[in-house]
Amino acid sequence: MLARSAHGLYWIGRYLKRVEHTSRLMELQMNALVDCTWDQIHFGWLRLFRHLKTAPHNEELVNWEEHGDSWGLTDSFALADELSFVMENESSILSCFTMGRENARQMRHCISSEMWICLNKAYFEIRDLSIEDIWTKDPMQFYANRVQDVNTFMGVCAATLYRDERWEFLQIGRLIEHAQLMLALMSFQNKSTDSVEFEDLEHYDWWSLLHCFQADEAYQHYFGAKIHPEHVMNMLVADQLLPNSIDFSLNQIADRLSALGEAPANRHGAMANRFIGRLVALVRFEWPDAENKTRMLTLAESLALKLHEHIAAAWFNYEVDDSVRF
Amino acid sequence: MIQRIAALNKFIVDVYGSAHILADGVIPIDHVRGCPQYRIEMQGVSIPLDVPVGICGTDLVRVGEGFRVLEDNLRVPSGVSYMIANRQATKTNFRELYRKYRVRDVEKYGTLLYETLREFDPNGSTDPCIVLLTPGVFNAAFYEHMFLADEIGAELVEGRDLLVNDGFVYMRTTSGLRKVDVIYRRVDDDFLDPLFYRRDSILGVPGLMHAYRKGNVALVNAPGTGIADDKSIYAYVPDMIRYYLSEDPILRNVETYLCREPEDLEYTLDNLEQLVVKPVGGSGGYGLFIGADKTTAERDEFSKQLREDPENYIAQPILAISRAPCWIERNIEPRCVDLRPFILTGKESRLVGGAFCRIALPRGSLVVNSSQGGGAKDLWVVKN
Repeated sequence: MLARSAHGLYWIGRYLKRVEHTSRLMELQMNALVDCTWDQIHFGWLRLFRHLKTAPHNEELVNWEEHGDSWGLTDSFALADELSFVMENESSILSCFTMGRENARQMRHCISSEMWICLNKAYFEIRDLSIEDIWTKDPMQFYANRVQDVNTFMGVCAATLYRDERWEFLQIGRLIEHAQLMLALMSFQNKSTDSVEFEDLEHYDWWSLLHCFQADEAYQHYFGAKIHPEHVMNMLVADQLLPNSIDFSLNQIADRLSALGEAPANRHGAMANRFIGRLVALVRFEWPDAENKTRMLTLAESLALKLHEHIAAAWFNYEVDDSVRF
Repeated sequence: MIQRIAALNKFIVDVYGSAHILADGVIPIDHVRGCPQYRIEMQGVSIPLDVPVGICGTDLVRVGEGFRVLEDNLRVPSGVSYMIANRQATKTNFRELYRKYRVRDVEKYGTLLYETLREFDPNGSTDPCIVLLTPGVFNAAFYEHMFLADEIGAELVEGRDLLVNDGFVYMRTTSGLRKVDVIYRRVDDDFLDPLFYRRDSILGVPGLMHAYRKGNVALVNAPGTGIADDKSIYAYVPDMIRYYLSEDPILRNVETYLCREPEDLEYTLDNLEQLVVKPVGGSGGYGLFIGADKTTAERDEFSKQLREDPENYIAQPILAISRAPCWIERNIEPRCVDLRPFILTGKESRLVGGAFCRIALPRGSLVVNSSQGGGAKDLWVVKN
């Protein structure tokens, strides 16, 4: 298929996974606003913005540290707006939905009409909304609906998309985005556990993460009701059976790359396979015995970024030189 | 229409080849060679199948009892997707009515287009690699490009997806570079190849014309076809039909005055109130001067402009174009309509039984162009 179309599908997968991921954590945060302490609320916002590698556009909110302040309940309206509807923020739900749809619009001939209708319908449902529209009604339901939109879209993909490269690139995009976001999230969570700033945090935040990524029932089954941060971390990072774990995503990526076979730019294709091999080995075999988990997560984050770059260079933006197949 | 496109194709091949029609004085040489649409790069180029215009959209209007050709669109005619979309809308919303009549099918257009494009393959293979070249998502006709690519099962490519190597055109795929045989191009000549035409074009493919001239890729339509749909050449189409086909034209032109001719210019200036004056290189209904809609002062001002640059204009009588009932703001009102049937020509000419039917939406307007807010209707050609 056309390299640009494959690139577009890859990014549809990435953008929609980001919508789902952000929506899940926003739903969690909206729940926290109801009955959590100020430091838990502050931690929730900080976790969201830091791991998404973004910052609010509002200057007062950006410089909270300088003022010796924190993000509390009163800032939540603006912060929620930032991650939901602010188009200038590349991680906001509306921005990611728009970009995902724009990619789909440019390659409607590569996707099924049912996929397009599903995505379009979901987009038009939120396009004209603002934070005011959802804030006083049921913000949690709004975010839950966005998760459902993405899940429905992925279900329609699974039911209607031809299982050739189109499917593979869409899935690779989705899985890489998931792996990168989860690595960043786990990295932040792990650093915070060790920091003085959040030493008073209870286990709420670990438990909420398990719930957020549908790991709570499996956790209770294996470890009981008591929260052990290291068990939660191990589960979300290295559990081979949990669909939202990092290990699970990495292994899926390895399978997809293997299904694609040789890349047009051999060197980058080989590098992509090497990086996914390293990532899989790191998470599966080195993680359990690693003493410095933070270092390992940082290393995995940088490897995942390299993996993305090599995939792009191997299949999408390859230079025409001797290594390219005619 | 088949007669007309046959003559137009012969004309284009002739003017870029031996130019017999010019040598025989049927059309003045300066009208052709001085036309901005004449592409000198096409001189001596062997055009696949001797068919430079594979896809033609001819604009027809009904005046009184007969149809007249308003203009031929021979470069990148658009609108065919609306013809099909309108039909699908009608079939959905007027099921019973549609079922009652034996309406000719327009939805097979995609199949006919594919068959036609396939015939242009320079290698003559049964399964050539066909792509549709679009300027991109910001082009007003992008929906149509996507629609047609889907209909014919071709990749929808932009200039950046193609490259030329050793005189062949390739597209970047996820399996490497794939040789392209036929390009259905929806990019204007000027932007097609920055090495030949506009140097600042980022829509085209550097070296594309080189590959085309070597016969390694087919471009449909060929570059330079605009020479035959220029408004100043339009007046000669009946002569072309007689010259190349030794037949009388079946479809009539609209009477046309070439302002470059002194007699025609004087007639135009004297009768401006009854005429519509058009710039020869214009399209989309832009730059029209409809005398009847203007004040005396405006006509005087335009007369000066006409005298200064007569070669740039033609004039035609204001036609009483046929009207059709239209649903306008909850009322049925008459509106002017025209038809754009699409003629596909490869080894043979093919048509579907329908046309893109355009409407001038403002009351009393004669301008049907989509780019100026024109509407559209589903047109039924009913079987006997």
